[in-house]
Amino acid sequence: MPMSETDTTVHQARPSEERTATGDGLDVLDWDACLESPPPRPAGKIKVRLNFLGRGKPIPLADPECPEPAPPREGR
Amino acid sequence: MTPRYPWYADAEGDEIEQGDLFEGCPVYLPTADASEHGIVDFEWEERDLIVLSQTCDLVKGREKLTEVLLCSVWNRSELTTGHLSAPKGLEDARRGNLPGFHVLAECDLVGLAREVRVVDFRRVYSLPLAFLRKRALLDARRLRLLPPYREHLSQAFARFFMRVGLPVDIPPFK
Repeated sequence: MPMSETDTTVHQARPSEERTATGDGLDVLDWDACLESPPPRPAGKIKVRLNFLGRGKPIPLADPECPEPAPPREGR
Repeated sequence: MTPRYPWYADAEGDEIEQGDLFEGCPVYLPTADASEHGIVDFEWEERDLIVLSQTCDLVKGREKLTEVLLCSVWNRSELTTGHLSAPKGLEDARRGNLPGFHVLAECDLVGLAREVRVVDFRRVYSLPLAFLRKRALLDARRLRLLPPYREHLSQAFARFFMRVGLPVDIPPFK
């Protein structure tokens, strides 16, 4: 049961069986788990013509001590 | 689920925030032989994507970036093979024991009902902000993950991305 108006189930202590196991040399975190083959979704191949427009430029950085903001840049 | 802390809201218009979901969005992947000039092959794949770039970098008129960072999101029903196809795997992910994944609650908003979904931190894309703004206008309504679940997601991504594997670890204590 919530203890206060702002309390939620998240704040409440969970039963011990829901807590993450620790100790006994268990590797609890599996950092290597991955989806080797993603679920199938619509996919295809397109031919595109690449037009080289030169090297990209960094977004202008505003001087934090100068109130004038840098102009917005939305390149594409 | 506590109604006072809803997971989602529906978003409209081309204001984009961290946690916005774009469903059926194409991502474009240059093939290995794509060069700088000429006609080349690109593969495209449809993805459900969630925005990971910070909201403050996406404010209209004050954009701090031109490309938006996004992650793949899979429906639970799509995960038919592997560890995540079983309740045990999803439970591991829910507890945070699979740092490459993050579980999103189901959504019961009228017209936007969605099942439990899993964010895949290993499938990361960037798309131009202008492209996403137009895409947002095409979608009449889309889902937006709300705080604190949004921050929970971005923290989980940060934890996964900043992982460090030690070449020589301290031997286990017996």
